[in-house]
Parts: sequence; structure tokens; C-alpha cells
Amino acid sequence: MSITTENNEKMITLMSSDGEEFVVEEAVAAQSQTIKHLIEDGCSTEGSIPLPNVTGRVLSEVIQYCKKHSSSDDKEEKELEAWDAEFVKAADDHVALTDLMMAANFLDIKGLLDLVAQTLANMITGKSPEEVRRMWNIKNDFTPEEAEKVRKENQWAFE
Amino acid sequence: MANTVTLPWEIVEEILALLPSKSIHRFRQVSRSWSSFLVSLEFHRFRTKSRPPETNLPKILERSIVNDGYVIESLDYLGGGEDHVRACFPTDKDVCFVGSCNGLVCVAVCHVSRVVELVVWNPFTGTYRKLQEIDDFGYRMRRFGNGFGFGYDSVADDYKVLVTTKRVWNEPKVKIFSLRTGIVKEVEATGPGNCLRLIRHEHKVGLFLNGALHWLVWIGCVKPKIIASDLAKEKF
Repeated sequence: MSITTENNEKMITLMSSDGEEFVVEEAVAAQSQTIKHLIEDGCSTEGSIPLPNVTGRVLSEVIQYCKKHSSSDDKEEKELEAWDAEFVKAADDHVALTDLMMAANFLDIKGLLDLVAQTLANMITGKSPEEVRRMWNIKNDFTPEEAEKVRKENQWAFE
Repeated sequence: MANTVTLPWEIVEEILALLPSKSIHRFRQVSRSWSSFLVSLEFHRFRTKSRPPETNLPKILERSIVNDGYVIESLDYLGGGEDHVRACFPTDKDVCFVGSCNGLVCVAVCHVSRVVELVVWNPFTGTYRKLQEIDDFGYRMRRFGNGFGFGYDSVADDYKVLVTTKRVWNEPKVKIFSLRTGIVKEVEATGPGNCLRLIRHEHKVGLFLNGALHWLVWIGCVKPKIIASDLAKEKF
């Protein structure tokens, strides 16, 4: 089943891990290299592409991004940059951003991946190692001696 | 567990590569896996290569003080130019600056003005590698005759240290130390590099830019000339 719009745009259906369906223009979905390849390989003949790694909440954000970026051309670069800044601001915290980045990685959307990576990098730049561990549940697996050694080696990084 | 999330490794790399060097250094304390990844050559390459070409200029480290306790002041252009760090090279000998490229620094360790060791050092991580024992060097940093240079050969993906020698006045040679293979080659300078024998001691360190080392030489003591040596072609 393949639907077309009035403008003769081919539509495809994306299905999130929690069963939510999104009908989007093929050109929008093809911003994702992963989906583009699936379409080219004929995996969408059943009319919908299942995305088992992406929840509906994250997928709707990703689609927002892809819609914006498939409808804008290069001339609107400034406007697009401002839009991107607002977009990541709306994602709110590092948990939402990490989910978004994992989706961008799985779906292979380079622009979105770079955008979110830069946002997260900016977010952690001034943080302490302990704060970073807490953000992402990272276990401090150094022995006290090792920790002291690394800390000493890094002393100048705190100057 | 609303505000915690685990971070898959493949996206950790993408994020860490974008950090300024001060943060990279600090985050070596996060965990063992972060620590070993951040000091790896693989990360170093990933970080410098993932940049657009215009910001991936070869010289991201600059020395401003070397003689005062052999401290290197470095300015990281990848971090937007504001990322200013200091690093101390661990030696009790005299140290001369040979060059810097992609965040690596090459120094010549000297004893009574003789070069006893050439070392490529990563001040971000504190790791360094000595280039081959050099008992027959006889190279002098403070005298007329030897030129030094350090740069990156993008064709072989290799860092190289060049030393020009002139045992016999009219037959200068260029010694090439490869960081990747550990091999040392000696090439005769029969081309334009022939006048490398005329390097003056105050200009003996070549400047690395766009894949080549550049030296200022004087021919006939009047007008200086710039000699460019392509690191990939190894023809001088």
C-alpha cells in the first residue's frame, strides 16, 4: 500500500518501537540514510517501516527535524541555524538529548547527529568528572591509587 | 530513573571529539574506559580528522616558554582559540622546540648543546615516544648547519621528523624519522634542498604547513629564500 498526496508525493509510514505510526513524505524520511537504504532495498513494500530502536516520542522529534531540513534550501541557512538552536533547546535535558542522539545515530542522520553531539559537548564542557558520571550512570572503576595518579597527571587542567 | 540514561559507546566518541582539550584532560578521571580512550592515538586521529579542513590547521600548539622549566604553553585552535593549557615536559636536560602539528609536539633534548634525543610528545595526555637512540647524531641545536622539522604526512598517515645534515659541505643530506614505522631514512638533497646546508642557526627549525616543511635559507648572505620540503614525496 503506497499513498500519494495531491502533489504526487510518495508517502511512507514509519512505526516506532511502541507501535505509534507516522505517515511522512518519502523525501522527509529519506533524510535518514538508514530509511533511504531500506526504501531502495524495497523494504517498505508493505507500506510501513518498523523502527524497533526508536520510541514514538523521539521519532516525532526526529521527523520534525527532517521535515524542516528537507523543506529548506541553502539560502535559508541562517534561519535554519536559529531553528536548530530552538529545536535542541526544546529537547530540554541530557536524557532527551541522549535519546535523540541515539536515534540520529541509528537512523544515520548526520546533521542531527552533529547538532546533538555539539549540544551535549557544550553541556558537559565545564562539568566535573563526578557530574559527568552522574549524568550517564558511569561507574567510577578506578582504584583509589589509580584515581590519585590520573588526578595528579591532570592537575594543570584545573589551573 | 527519569533523569538518568546510559550512553552507548559509539556516541560517546562523537561527543568527546568535540570537547576542548581542558575538558578532555579532566574527563580522563571519569572511568577507566574513558581514560584509556582519551589518551589513545585513535582518539587523537579521530578528533583532528573530524574537523572541517579550514579549522584542521596543522599547528594547533604553540610554544611560548620553553626555557623556564620546559613548560609548553599551548593554544588549542580546535577549542576555539580560548582553550589555553600548560604542560611540563619531564626532563632535567635542556630542551629545544622542533615543531608542533595536530596537537603533537616534537622536542630535541640536548646535553651540552648536543642533541641526545628527539622526542614526539603529546602534552594533552603526557605520553611520548623517543625516536631511536641517536649516539652518532652530533647534531647541534645552537650552531650553524643542522635544520630540524616536524610534520604530518597525510599520504602515509605518518608523523615525520626531518634533520638536515652536512657532513660534507656540498652534499647535504636529510634524515627522516618515521613515527609510524620507526624507520630512519637518509636522503641526499640534490634538488632545491641542496641549499638546506645554508640554514642559519636562528632559523633552523622548519615551519610545517600544508604537508611541507619550510625553511629560510641565505644564499650569498643577501636575500633569504624559502625552501619547501614535501613530507610525502621525500625529495629534497
